[in-house]
Amino acid sequence: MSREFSTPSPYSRRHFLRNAGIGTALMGGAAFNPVLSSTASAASESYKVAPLHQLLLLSNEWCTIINDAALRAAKVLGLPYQSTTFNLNDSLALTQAQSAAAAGAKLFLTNSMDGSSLGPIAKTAHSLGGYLVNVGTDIPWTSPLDYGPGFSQDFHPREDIGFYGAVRETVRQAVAKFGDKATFFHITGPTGTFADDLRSAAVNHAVSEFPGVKIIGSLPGNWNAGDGQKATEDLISRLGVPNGIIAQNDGSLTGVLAALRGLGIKAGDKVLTCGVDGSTDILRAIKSGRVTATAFQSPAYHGIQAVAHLFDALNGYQFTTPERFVGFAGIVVTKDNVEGVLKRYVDNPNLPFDPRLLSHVISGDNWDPQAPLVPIKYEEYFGVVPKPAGYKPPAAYVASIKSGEFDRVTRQYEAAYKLKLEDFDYPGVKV
Amino acid sequence: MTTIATDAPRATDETAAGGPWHSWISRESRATWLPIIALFILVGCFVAKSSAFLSPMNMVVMGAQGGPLLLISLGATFVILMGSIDLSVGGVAALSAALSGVALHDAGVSHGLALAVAVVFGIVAGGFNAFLVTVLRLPSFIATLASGSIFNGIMLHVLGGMALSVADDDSFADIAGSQFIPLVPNVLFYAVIAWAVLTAAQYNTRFGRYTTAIGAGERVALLTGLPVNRYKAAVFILSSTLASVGGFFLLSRLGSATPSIGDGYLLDSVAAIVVGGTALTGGVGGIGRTILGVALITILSNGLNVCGVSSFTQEIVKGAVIILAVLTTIDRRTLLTVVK
Repeated sequence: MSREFSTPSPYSRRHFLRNAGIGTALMGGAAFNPVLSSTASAASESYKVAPLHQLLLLSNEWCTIINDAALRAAKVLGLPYQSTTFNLNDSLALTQAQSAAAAGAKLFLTNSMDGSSLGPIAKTAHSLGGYLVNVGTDIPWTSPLDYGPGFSQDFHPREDIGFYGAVRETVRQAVAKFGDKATFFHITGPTGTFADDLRSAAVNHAVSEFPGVKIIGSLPGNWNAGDGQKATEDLISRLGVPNGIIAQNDGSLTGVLAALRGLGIKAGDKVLTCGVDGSTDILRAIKSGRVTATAFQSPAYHGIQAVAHLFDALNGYQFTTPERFVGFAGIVVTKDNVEGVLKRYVDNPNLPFDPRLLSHVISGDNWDPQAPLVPIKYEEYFGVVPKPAGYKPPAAYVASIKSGEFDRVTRQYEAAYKLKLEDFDYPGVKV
Repeated sequence: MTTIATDAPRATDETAAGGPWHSWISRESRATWLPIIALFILVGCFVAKSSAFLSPMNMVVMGAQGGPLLLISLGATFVILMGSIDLSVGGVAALSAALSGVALHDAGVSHGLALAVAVVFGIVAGGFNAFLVTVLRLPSFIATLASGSIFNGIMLHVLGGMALSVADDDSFADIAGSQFIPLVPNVLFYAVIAWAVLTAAQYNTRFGRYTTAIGAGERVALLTGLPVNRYKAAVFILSSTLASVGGFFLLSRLGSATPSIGDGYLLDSVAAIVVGGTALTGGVGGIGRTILGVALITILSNGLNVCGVSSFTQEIVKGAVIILAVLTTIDRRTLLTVVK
């Protein structure tokens, strides 16, 4: 593996990740071996460490990058690391977490599909003196505060800012190119998924700012290329060629591009497109002019931030209430900045963020979130779905807002943010 | 007791018992005509609902969507006809697409060589399935379920869990998408040629007849001296090879090898085969009818989208149509009497 890391560019994250599966397996073998893990990092010599287990889906670029980044961040911080794939089935996630706990894991990172496993996993972690961070979906109107101290943090990309920005930019360019009556298709994700509801809300918000623009057709692309392709083909058959297509995931946007190519329609010229996530092929498609914009939400940051948070929690750092429900907006990528995004985040063999700087325990006053990380108000995040009957926000959350703690922490985070996402010359951390 | 569920004697018995009308509604006649009638009804409904359904563009779209499914379903039909099942076709198609994609992207091989990679992998995968079924004597259901999982796992390693874009130019996409015959995408053209060849093979060659005979009664086939294992191996290799070629065309159509590329094709292919009138119990039906099943599944899925039916309702309609189609084409009485 070390030989791979020293290989000079050109080097893409795909090349690394193809080998990372083997690396993960090797790390997994070493994960619960105290002799091997004690030599993993200098950090382990002075800080408390414990095995970390991630639950993820390996057939998806987003999750694969989170896994790779978390693996390397754990290595930097000296945390033994193992992961299993739960196929986006929360019931299976719980089983796997309990098995991992039985094998010694205390720290858990999950990408929950629907939030149903979070409570039981948090309880399991807490019973072992450990913690859970979730970078996936919650049950709407719930937060870590509802599940006790074992559930240390929920982390979410801000679709209402990042994806909204990508859609807005694409619609703006479509209006400039085709006029203020531009028409769009909307390729949604799996029906009934909360994360997709957030994305739909962002699309509706962005489009509503251009009164003449209309979404004339919508079908689910289910966040994958095959369904995205089929949905686009069928919508074009039914409604003709639109001026733009908004896909609620870069996987389905890959299918949109394939459908346009198959029908002889030039993407980027006759039809403008946008997506969300920032997958490698879509970033390259932006560079070649076939895609107008995507919201790059850095899956690597999801993994590294979560590992640093778990490390801090294990080492006794007391997170305030607002710090347990946070998110960031990512970067709206267009042709103007795609070169930089590819340079720092895709073609860079190093970790694009420094896990040590993300650790309060290690960095102290020099702590830098390295992204516009901010606490999220529940009303802003969950507002797209109705509150459950008799809903009352957690008392600690209400107290945090009332006392001014929420605003104070928000300002602290903003002030601490020094290494910018847009600093594309940052070389990263060699692991 | 072993009953060989052949079509012809049953039709004759029913003819003798109930005259020509009875003959028309015999299982074999139903299996032949009802999918066609169902297709016409579906097309009629969709045309009445949306004129776009029969537009030239939608003809091309449906052809491109149905071609890979037909390729994947053809070999699998032989497996089912033989009384087994191949649940690895989705995994084979996905790994084939991944291997071809890596060959094109990383090794820079020609399109023809990438197809050769797919074919060779299909033969190997089929050989592996055949080994599990004939040498280790695992039930095909379990063997191919497990091998499909293995193929999917290898695919994830090959792709590193990420999409691999292989088609920045149009030449690779043209393999599936261009048209020798106007309005017929090449992927459908090739699939129909394969269908015609295999249909002829089923009815006119020893391979086809023996395969049907094994499906109708494997023990009887063994007792009469048929080399059952050899034919089983050949059929599994045929199934995986065609699934692999289907995966190659999926890659050409999509332009990217993605981990989800084979998703859905297993269920769609089994549905197409059964809706077409081939019994899961084996020995009844055949390749000729599978094209009807593929057409029905493709038209149903496309038509519901083109007509703007909500995605919630689509699931209900698809399920109901498949149940109705199977109820009218499969002789359920036979299922009770056939001893496997």
